[in-house]
Amino acid sequence: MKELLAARDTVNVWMERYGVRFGVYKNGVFNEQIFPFDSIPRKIPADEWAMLEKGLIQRVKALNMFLYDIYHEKRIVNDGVIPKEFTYESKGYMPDCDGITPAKNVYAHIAGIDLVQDKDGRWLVLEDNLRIPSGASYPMIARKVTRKASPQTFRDNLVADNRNYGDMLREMMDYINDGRGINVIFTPGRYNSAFFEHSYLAEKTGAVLAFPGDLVVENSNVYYIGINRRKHRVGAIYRRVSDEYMDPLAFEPSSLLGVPNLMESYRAGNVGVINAFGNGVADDKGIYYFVPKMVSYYLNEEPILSNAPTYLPFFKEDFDYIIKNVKKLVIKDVAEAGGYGVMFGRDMSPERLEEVKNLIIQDPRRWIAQEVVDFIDLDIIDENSNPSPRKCDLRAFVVTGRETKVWKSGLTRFSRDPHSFVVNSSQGGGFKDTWVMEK
Amino acid sequence: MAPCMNSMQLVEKRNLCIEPSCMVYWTKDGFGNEVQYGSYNQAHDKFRIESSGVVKCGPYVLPELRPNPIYLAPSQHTYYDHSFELWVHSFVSTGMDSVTKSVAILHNVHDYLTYKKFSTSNTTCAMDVFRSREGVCQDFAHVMIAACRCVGLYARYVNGLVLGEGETHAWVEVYDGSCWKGYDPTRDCCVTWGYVKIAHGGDVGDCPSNRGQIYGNTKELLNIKTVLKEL
Repeated sequence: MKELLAARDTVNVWMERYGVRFGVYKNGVFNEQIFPFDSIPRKIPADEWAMLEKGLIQRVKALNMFLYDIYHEKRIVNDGVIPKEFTYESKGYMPDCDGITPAKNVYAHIAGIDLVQDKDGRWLVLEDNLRIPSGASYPMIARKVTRKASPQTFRDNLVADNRNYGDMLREMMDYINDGRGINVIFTPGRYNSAFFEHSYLAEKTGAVLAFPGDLVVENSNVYYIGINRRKHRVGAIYRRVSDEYMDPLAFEPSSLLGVPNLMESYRAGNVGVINAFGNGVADDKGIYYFVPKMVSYYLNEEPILSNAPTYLPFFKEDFDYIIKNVKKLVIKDVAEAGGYGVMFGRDMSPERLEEVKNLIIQDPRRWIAQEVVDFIDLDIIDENSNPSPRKCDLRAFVVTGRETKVWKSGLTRFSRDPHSFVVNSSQGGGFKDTWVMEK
Repeated sequence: MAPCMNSMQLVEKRNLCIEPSCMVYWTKDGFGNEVQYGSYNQAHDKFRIESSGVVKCGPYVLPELRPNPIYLAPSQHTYYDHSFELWVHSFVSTGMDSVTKSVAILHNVHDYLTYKKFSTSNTTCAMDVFRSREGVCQDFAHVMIAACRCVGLYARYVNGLVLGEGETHAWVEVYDGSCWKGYDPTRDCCVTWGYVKIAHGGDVGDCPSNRGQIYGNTKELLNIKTVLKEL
């Protein structure tokens, strides 16, 4: 451990050289920043991890079953487990996907589940990310660099090897691919906030990194245009572009990023799209409330992981509670992500509180309220080289191909300033390596 | 772009002619509509699509066992607020059966709005029209759809052709518990005869006559002409 901390500067220099950056758009200006890395790892003991792993697999299985159901029989709505207001009216629900079964019936191939550990050591799920969860490349490269800077550390500590993420992805992509084409990772390009990750994952999975304009659809097949304009058939696309920009003919017509008629090829079952279209309906902050119910409904099991205590103003009882207690709650806009649209009642002026109450009264479906979870602090080394506590969460990566597996690592993010509870990298936070211990 | 085939509409002949000529593929979209797509990637100064054919029409009823619940949910163009709900409840009461409700909505929407050409655009939604009280057939249809959905009726947008009009027309289908039936709020009538259906969807965004992309530095001029004759 000591060697690791001593090698801190070397690690940071190397990370910078590898281009571990994160792009942030602020007021329309693109700024690239170093994604700050802290050398003290988060350690998760083996028994704790075993429980987490089971819970995550269970949760992601249920979410996949929910996505299939909602675009096919819609049993869960017809049986009254989830009100229709939270499914068909969700911004993430895509009517165009109705009746389409994606390759091998997998929707959420890569799920990023955000968790926190409260002061009693209980793990709570804060959010499910089933569209294009990013972040796996950061702990990957951090481990690689720290291993180089301080090999001794990994001989002395029994840390689970996490160098298999590329293989996990590769295996899943090969399974989704019908075997008649290549695998590609489709990036919007150099100015995307996670471009580092796109290129790094392409390298690690052996997939072709495709840019807008590299893919065309002909006769319901997707082709990659290679050297000398030769066309190679594509069997699976790990796309890093959101649904609405993927096909200008099916969705947002002004998108220049997308692949015209991709939807048609997808519908015909000629290409696997990772993650599937229309997943937004299942990681909506409103539907989050119902995930434990999904677990019981589809799997007939007790949910292993619980949610943070959540209230939906949509239900009368919860509504009254929220209006009464708004000051101690955190209010979230269901349609936002990346730490945007999150408001803490205790930080608001009385006028702002009234405004927020009115917003909730006007459109109850748009908001959720949660108790503020007092989650644990982990030490980081601050600017003055002193240990200093910060709020930390954990994004676990769950990959579903033939089977559902959890990557034995994860992205531990910490907030930039000591008093903040928001850890999103788009809000200026940093990250730590996550050690899953073998014993 | 071509009339659809279903139990009330038999397509006897259809032709699609595209200039400059390119490969066209036929497929179906998520709503069950037929779609023709293709691309032309050389320089051109015009692009013409001519779709022609002969259709035999029967009575306007489309049986369906379980309609898709998305036709109950507000969509991008048919979103409504509380004031709109109050307006709808002023002439629809809970005791009415679904056909009576539909007819009440049909007449009230027609009376409430004034037909005015070029008063709206293709991004106008039902609430905009509800406030401005004027629009074209597309807007009449959106207001009627919003009104139906807010009293719990399945309603969907239909794009098609009608006798005596030089452009495509829009009307509404409402589900009565066993069948979809047509209502034309622009003309204030139940759809019976002389309507040729092309496509349907949750609102206009789901079933435009055409969409696509043109690359290049030029002005675009779109012309649509339709001719429908009784044989």
